[in-house]
Amino acid sequence: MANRPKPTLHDMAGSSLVHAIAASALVAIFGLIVAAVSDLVGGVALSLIAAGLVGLGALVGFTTVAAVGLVVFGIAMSFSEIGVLWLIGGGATCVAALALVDLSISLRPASQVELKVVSSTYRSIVVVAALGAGLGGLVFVISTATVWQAVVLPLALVATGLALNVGADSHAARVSERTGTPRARRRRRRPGKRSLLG
Amino acid sequence: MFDAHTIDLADRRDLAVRTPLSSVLFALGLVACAGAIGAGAPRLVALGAPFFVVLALAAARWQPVQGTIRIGIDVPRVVEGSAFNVLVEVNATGPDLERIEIELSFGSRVVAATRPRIVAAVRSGTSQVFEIPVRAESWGLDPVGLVTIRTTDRFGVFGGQVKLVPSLSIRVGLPDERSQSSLDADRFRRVVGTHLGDDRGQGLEIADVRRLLPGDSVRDINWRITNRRREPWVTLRHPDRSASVVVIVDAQGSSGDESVEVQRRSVEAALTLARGHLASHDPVGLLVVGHTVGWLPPRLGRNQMHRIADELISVGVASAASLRRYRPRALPLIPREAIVVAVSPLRDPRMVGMLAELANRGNSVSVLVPATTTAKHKRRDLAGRRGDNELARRLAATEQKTGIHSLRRHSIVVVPWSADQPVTAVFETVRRLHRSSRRVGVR
Repeated sequence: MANRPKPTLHDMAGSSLVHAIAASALVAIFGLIVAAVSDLVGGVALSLIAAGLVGLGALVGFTTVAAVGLVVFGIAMSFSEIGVLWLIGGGATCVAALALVDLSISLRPASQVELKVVSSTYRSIVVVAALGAGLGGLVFVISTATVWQAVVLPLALVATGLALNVGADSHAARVSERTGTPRARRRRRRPGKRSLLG
Repeated sequence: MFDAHTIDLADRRDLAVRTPLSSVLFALGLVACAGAIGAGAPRLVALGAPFFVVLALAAARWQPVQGTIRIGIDVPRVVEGSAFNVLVEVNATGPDLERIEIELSFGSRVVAATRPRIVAAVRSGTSQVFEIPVRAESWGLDPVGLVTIRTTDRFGVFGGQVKLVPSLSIRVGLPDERSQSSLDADRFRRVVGTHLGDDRGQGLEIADVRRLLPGDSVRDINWRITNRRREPWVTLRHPDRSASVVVIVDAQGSSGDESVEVQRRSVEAALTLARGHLASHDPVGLLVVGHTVGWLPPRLGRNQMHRIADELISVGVASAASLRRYRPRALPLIPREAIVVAVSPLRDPRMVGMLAELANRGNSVSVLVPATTTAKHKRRDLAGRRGDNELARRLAATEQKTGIHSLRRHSIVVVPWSADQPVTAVFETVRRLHRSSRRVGVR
């Protein structure tokens, strides 16, 4: 045990605060830019409130608080009458901010951190932002090309629900097969604490 | 001393649940979709699309956590004041452990130089060892209290957290120089007598051989010479000059600072006694009075020293329920010819009675009574504020005086040992008192 090479850990003191500030700044900067290009009254204030809530959520370690901030950010985006490209950017900003908040919570003060964790999270943020932007654009194109209010969105919602259900079942079956544990009954005893292992 | 504890991460349901982040992502995505429907603006879907992308990617990539975590230390023996590393080996036997957070907590005897928390990533099929620098502050048994393990995927969507209490303890011994500097073996040999065994049992050293005479034991027959001379011959041996020594340590049950200091000094004295006698090839036994399992029969060798040290380490962590078991079953097992040295504050009449019983049986008994200097200052400080404690201390002091008088009536040498007094001086006093008691024919 003691003879193996030991990985380098970094005492990333303050990195939790840095990531919290980064998440907050990301939301604030994007919100301020959007407020500058749009004529929304109070857009700056909404963006700053959203950024503050995101930063607060990261500092206190509650993702839900950050989510409330992102809802405020989304409202500001929605009422800004901006183009779809800005909205795609806003969605990517939201996801990136949430990922940074989660990373900030993980890197609590005085932790010994392997830099691989941070770099892989950054890579994930970039990939998700790119894929999210692509998916958002695709959905927008499809929806504008059809009478989407009547057909696409209800069907999309039903399809999403079905896909999630089927995906969850297949996931549970795969877990049961891999771990050799029987699948749990569908009724869950602790809401929100359901194990993926069935 | 290397004591590794293994934690298996496989099939732990708590590590395979949705994190709060996943709920947040799902809720935000739904809000965006609902807003798009409600406002009749399909462009708002672009806001929520990335959330579903994260969820879809995380669900597609998720695999159950499989791996082990081993926790140990990198030194064979930990002594007070030494710095060492707690090693945490993470082995990913299944998929990659993309983000694993491990946090340890220690007791009061071991202090981590940094916060004992690791955030790392381990690739599939590999293992990594992480070091947590710690320092042993005080002697005793320090359990690794709680291990918190949190794993998530790289998106932080699926994962979980478990909190475990491992069966791992770090034994912090007293430093060698402290117990060795107090006393050298030769001086100590004179302390409790000349170490001539009281019994007439045969030793190992051969003195002579002669013909078998009436009264000789058959066990003494030297078969090689008997075969050669065609008549029974026996081997004569010198008597064994070693005497068994039994050290009795009184494990007081109270949890105050004074009691801790008394315990500490008692353990130091006991270690010194044991080390000195074992170096002189005297069998040494240990009786920890007041502890559940506290009897080590007299034996020789380095292993016995380690056994005694281990037993003494547990003195400081005896739970209150296991204390106060005087007159243990081992008492009749103490050899009658053994020299008994007790280290006790003599605050319990049962301890006094036990020592008197040993003296009455014929054992040579000496008692060291450790006292503390810090306790005096604290007593003075607290006297005005905490009258009940002061009263209790006075009562204990009275019991101690009564016990000392009682033991002296049984010709037991009782020597108070103040904190600023070196142990060598105390043993000189014991030796002098032994001599004087022999001169007056008391014993």
